Amino acid sequence: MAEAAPARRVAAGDAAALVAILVLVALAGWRSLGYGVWSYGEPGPGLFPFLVCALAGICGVVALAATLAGDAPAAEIDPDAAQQEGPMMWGKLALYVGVIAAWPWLMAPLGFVLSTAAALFVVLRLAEGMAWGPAAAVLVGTVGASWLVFERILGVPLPHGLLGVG
Amino acid sequence: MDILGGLVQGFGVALQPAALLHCIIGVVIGTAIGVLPGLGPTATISLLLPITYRLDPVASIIMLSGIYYGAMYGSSITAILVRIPGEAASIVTCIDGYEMARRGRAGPALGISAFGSFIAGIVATAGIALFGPLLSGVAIRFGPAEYTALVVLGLILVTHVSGGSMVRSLVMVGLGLWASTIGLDPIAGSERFTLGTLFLQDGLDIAIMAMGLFGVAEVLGLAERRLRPSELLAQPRRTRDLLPTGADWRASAAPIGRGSLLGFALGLLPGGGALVASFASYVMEKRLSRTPGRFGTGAIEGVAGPESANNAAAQASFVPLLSLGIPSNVVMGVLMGALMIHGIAPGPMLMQQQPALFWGVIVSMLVGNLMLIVLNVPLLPVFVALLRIPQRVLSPLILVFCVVGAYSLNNSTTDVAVMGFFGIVGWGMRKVRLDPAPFLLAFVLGSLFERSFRQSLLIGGGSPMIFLQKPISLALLTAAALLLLLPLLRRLAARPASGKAT
Repeated sequence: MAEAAPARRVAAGDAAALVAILVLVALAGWRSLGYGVWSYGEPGPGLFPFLVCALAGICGVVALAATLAGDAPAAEIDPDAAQQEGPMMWGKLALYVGVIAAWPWLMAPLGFVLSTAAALFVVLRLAEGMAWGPAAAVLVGTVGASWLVFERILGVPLPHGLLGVG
Repeated sequence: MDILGGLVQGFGVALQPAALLHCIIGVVIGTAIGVLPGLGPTATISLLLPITYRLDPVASIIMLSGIYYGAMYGSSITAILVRIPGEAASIVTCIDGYEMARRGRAGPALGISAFGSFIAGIVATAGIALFGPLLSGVAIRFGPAEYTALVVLGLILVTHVSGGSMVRSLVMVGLGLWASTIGLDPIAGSERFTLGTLFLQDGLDIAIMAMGLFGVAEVLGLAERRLRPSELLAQPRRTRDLLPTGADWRASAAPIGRGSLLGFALGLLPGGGALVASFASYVMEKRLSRTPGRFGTGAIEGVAGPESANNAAAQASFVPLLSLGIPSNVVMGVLMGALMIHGIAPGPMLMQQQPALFWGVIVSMLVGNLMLIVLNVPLLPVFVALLRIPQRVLSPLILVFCVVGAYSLNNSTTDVAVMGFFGIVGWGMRKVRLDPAPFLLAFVLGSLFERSFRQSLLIGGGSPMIFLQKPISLALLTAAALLLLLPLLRRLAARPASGKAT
């Protein structure tokens, strides 16, 4: 006897991402036409981007149709999924994202040492919940070692900022 | 001069103390910069060019080429341990190498990568000595149409690397190709998709994107949920226990052999070289395997083949440079500059006029690969010990590593911001089942694709028929079409059978 087919579920996140991609390639494709696709019997600067946007668009529509029909690939492309358990930790994730977003804007005014120390403080103490002692040890060790290796040994001119050291 | 006489002369040059010293300096620097994301061999060799003014030309080229193939090995260390490819050629190694590390088999993954690279190095050196001048004649027959077809084939291969749906991979290939067009048009020089910003005029940087899509995205992936007690902590400690077992060797022998030959052949062609070779080898091993489902879950063949292929290709790329004076990639272009600084014009006459340099460099590659093994195998426990660092410490370390790596490329905080952006995008891609690997590989091949595609159309008077009129191009496009249609044909062939079964 044939087994009952599992119920098909539309992956809303997948569909939203594919719609976003379709909007992006539609805009890029339209812009490509403005660069000139063909002129004087020769390919223009817009031809190649227009063709690749068309490829992404056509395949995107096919992928979206399959997703809406409940035919999205079963497994996430996530090498960590098998190693993890429990619910999503949105707060921790938001702290990491915040650090990644803010770090580049703080590097120039604060300098490498202070901005890295601030980023590591947020990650180690707030996101990872590490105790003060180990967090301070990791912070000082990481900032010191990376400053020594990159600024002093490799000669990378790291931003100096408030402290006047890279 | 015959090959044997040339090799004897080469050994005489490469085994001199000064040459050995420069070789060891080159492979050590190469391994170090391979491990550090951001600072690639091109940047390092460019930075060291002024130092070579005062060196003997043979010693200079031996050191600079040591940096190149040392970086190929070094980049696989971080790809396996923390899923950050130091170089584009190690992107494929991330797939199964990292999965092996997660399952307590980081040692065998690193070991087979080192031994595979060594064996490939020997095969490639023998190939260069025996067939170099002959094979470089084939490479010269590649015009724009042939390159276009080769890239099309490469991109179809890319979609097979991905474990997900082929249509979704093609979406990512399209996006990657589009991303490669951001910046100045390579032929007309006009701006495209720069949004009026200065930093986008130079286009996006592969190292920045790779660090974001793989390194930063990995940190976010690790942060999203609680980790189970990890098998990463259960790695053996003694060097003997970290080496590949007999079973590993039996599984890896054929992939290493095939990867070496494939890498050598593809390395002769200008363009992707080591990168194309690594993913072509991965796809070939997956197709040949009786258990393709193991690929992506820590199959040692998925490390042995691509690692051998990228090393063989890196060395084979010296053939067009030394025999024809044609640099097959950016690193070879910089090396060509180093030769010209010393008043040496690489080309067909190099073998006659500078036999000590030609054969010395070739033999030094053999010596350099031996040095890599001698240096790296005893260091396996040190590399594996990195995995015992708890995730809550490792994640911030990876972030600092990526931030400094991105900043050091152009001393720009904008690069750090772009890397962060791609990190968040890369994490999002995983969540919605869109594989970042085809995106990145298509991005790398994009500029060569566009340039050769447009040149072909110009040569063909605007007609796309030029791609079908050239025999090599036609053969490559036919192979690409077959690869593209293969899954569809399989599905059609399976349908009547499954219909009968129900």
